[in-house]
Amino acid sequence: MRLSERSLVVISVSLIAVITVATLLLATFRGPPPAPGYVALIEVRGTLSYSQSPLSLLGATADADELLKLLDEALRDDAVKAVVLRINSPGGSAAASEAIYLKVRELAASKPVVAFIEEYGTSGAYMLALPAHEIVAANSSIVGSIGVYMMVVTYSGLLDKLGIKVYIFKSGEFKDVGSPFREPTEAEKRILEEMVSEIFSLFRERVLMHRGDKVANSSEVFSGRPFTAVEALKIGLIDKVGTLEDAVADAKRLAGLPEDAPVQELKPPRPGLLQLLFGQASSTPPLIPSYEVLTMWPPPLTGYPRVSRG
Amino acid sequence: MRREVDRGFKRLRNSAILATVSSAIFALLSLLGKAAGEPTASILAELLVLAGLIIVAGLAALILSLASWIYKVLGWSDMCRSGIRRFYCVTRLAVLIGPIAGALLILGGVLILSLELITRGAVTPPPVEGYGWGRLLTGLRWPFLAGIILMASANVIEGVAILDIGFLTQAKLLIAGSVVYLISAGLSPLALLSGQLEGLSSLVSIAAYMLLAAGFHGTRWEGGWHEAK
Repeated sequence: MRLSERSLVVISVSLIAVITVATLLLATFRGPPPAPGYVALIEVRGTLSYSQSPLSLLGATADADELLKLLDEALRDDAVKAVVLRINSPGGSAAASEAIYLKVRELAASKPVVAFIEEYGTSGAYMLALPAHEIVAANSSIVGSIGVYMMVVTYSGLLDKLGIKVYIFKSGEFKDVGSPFREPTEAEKRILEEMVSEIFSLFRERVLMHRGDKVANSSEVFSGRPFTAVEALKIGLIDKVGTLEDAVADAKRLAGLPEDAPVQELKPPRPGLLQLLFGQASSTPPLIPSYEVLTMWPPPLTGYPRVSRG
Repeated sequence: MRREVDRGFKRLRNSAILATVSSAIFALLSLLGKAAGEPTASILAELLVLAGLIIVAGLAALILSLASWIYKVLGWSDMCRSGIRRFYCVTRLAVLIGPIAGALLILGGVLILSLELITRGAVTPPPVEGYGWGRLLTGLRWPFLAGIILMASANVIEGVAILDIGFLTQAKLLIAGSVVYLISAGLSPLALLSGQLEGLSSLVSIAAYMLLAAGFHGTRWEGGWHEAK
């Protein structure tokens, strides 16, 4: 088989045209929305943190930005009739937990939300489940741990032994409160204790706001201890001990969807080359704060001092 | 004429061999990157070593790609000089200009997006909207798209030219290689845009380069070229 010069040009131009059209179609393709009326399943897994937070060094993290986007997507999509949050998280940074809690509250105001605690739903992760219309927890899950603690580790003794001196020049008396390089003063301890109380009050208010009519023994609930699912049910921290299937069924019931209504997991997009090229920019300096407000239980294993709600 | 053709085949074979190796390294690096997942404190040191290895291997693959491209341009120059087909001169021009212009356009796209991010004062990724593949493409800029299409077009022209050589020399490996190469040329923009077909695209392009390397290695000029003119 021999091709003429003209055929070669025609074949090339045709193929290029096909590829160009396919590429342009793909570039502008938005696809059809999923079937009308479905339950969106959103996973909240790992330590809650913003992607650039130093917390991401603690292990698998649930990126708050991604979660917020997914929750927003569920909020805006009219085809999403109910949302099931599949939670397996010990909590995380207070800022991330707060942002997600507020978004879940906004979502729950417009459509039914059911939280399913799979393994851990403690501290900040429990907080974000609070606005849900129903909280279901797996039989062997750990729930609660509502409270605040602060951990400040100081290295002053170690630095003395090593002969290292740290000079700090500050604009105000408390500018370096929580510094790991010296022991905290009594006044600083009071400040940090006040912070603990204030953050705890906020957490407590939210629990009472969402579950005030259900929580049986507030002193035990707010003692900061974690509970098994059965105990959590007894004291009103959750509504039901069950499975993910139960949570999905309840979400369908709350939304008035038929039993066979589809369930679709909303996932963050897999990073393609575009995301690698454009999406990972960051101006966050690689600094680790001496302490950070956390809503997390169990506490992290890292040694640097931090303030935690847990 | 025969000398030019033989030298052209040899250079195109070398280009395909180098492209096979560099594509394989890039595919392995991509796999490695995905397998590494989220960094954790406990394996931070290992990750740093891994990152170092990835950078070294990536640079090596980049150099191999560049060498492959130089061989390719020289190979098609020889084919053009042989005077067998004017289309081979078009191919030389395409493989010379396509990747350069494509890379410049892609860089232009990156620059535009970077400037937008800077002027917006944001470091967050561009917003995503829509469903399926479409949601991956929001934030896409036309220069980037044009660059991808330009590079694919250069590959299509080269694929057709190789197909022609395969027909003229009755080299089955070259015919098969050119067909797979054309599939790869069509697949790569889709993979780049969607982020879904990267593995398949890599496999197809490696297979294409291997077939082309084997095809150019085993193909000899046996006369009969005049019939093509």
